Amino acid sequence: MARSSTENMITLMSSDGEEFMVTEKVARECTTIRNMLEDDCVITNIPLPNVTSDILSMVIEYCMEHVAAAEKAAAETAEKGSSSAPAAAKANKDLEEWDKAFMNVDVYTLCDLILAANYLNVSGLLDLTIQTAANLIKGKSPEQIRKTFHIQNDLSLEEEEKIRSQTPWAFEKSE
Amino acid sequence: MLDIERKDQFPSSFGRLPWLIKFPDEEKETCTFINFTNGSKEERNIPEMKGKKCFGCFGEWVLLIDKETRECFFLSLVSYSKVHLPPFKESIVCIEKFSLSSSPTSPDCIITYASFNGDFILFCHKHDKEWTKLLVPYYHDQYPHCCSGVNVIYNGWLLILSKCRLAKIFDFAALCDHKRVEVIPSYALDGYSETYKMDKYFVESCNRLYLVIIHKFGLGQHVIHMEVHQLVEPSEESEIQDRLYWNYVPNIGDQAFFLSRYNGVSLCAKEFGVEPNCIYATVPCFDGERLYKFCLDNQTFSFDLLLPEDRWNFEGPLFWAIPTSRMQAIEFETPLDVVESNKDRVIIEENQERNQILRQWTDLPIEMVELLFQRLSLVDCLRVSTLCKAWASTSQSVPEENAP
Repeated sequence: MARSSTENMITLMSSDGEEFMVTEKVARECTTIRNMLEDDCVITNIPLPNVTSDILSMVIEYCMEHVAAAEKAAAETAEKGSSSAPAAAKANKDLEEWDKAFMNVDVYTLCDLILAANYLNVSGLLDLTIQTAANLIKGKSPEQIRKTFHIQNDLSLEEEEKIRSQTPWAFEKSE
Repeated sequence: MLDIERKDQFPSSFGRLPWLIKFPDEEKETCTFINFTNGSKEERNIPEMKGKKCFGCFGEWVLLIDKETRECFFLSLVSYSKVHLPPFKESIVCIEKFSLSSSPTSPDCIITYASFNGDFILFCHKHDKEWTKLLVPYYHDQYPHCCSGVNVIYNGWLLILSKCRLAKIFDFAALCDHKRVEVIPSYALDGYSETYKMDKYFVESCNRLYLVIIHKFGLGQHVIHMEVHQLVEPSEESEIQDRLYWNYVPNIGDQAFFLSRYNGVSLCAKEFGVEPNCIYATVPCFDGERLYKFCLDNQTFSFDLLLPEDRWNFEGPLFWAIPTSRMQAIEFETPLDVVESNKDRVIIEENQERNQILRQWTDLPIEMVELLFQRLSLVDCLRVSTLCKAWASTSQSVPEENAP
């Protein structure tokens, strides 16, 4: 496909009115935006009323990192004719490390990221955030999970007891 | 003894103002003294610094390590006297974080170093033969590579910052005795927004310990906010007696904080003729080294681009140099007028503030809760089902393949 040398820039506007200029390639990482662009190819300014600027900047950061990693891998493959397995494995590992560091956020931000990843349909990010949340739950007691996620218990004592009594073994202390 | 000829080497107002110093690096052999009030620069050649790398400025004392021999010493910028330390054998990665318990001239000064991504600290007294290495338990959180290594000794505790929790606190004496030590319980700042990029600094002021957090935003790493918290020991009357906590402080009174790479100094603003209740911080940015001034009174920022040629310079950072004769004066200052707010209240307020813009986990749409439950084992799923009504109803549809 023929492309002009300057890449198309897209402006994404967050719910609080901040504008983010990104390349079309980065914006296309969000399936929701990709669909919009394919429906209407002249669109350059996309308001995203469900995403705040701090969350949007993180989503963009994630997309940029993953686009850059993909481009680098493609360039290496093109250069050597075929991709060398150890180099590809290392690149994968680096990206995994980056993802892990990227997920060093508090639970509120994580919750917002899940919602944003779902809304913008960034499958990799949705996968990453959901898995991070699952990791935070694993092996914890209900009380610990409530504390981690700042969840208010709105069940009555009877209701809670009823759920627990169905599978009492799940609530035994696992030491 | 002060050498008269050498005294002329310093800019004339050196000692009357905090000066920013950029030490020699690969590119230049001279020291650059920067007057932050007007941005003027003066170059000086200090032979003692040849072949050395600077790892921080503590009052008038500069910590230097020889790149080859690993000789390690403090050099006074006032008298050129040296205080020798054991050779530093660890590899020098990038920005090393050292901290002092008191001035290098005091007999019981302890120098600590926390590794950037490891789980150990090194410490020594002035006349030790070598550094003592201690493994720090529980240093790694879930994200081992996210430790920051910024450390301080305060009140007999060793505090090390990690990025995920705010600080790990240990009993330093017990750690030195190789006893099994537990982390001293302290509250992280719950309900507090941990943006992705933050710089944190410890600042001791009037015998209290403060934590300054600089929030950065976006790819250009613009500074968007600074906030100050004070470490508080629970009092007898307070409800929370079992742990330390960080108390948000809205202002720092007549003090001014000066922050440079991982070190923070507090000064009485009046005495130095700088604006009180302000934070002055050097920050490496995309366009060079910037000096930010954050005014706590009205929460406004301003910045100057000090070294436009130094883009993202992490190798040769700027340090504040403040001669000790002046430092002593501040120890008699009255403590800050701190608002002793109830910690619980602060959290509730912050939570409320956040709740206006953020959704709760319990409000997650059912599709996403289902996605989450698919990643959990049956036991975890059952436990999650007792958390709240919304999740209790979702967990009825636990897929069979999750059974152990």
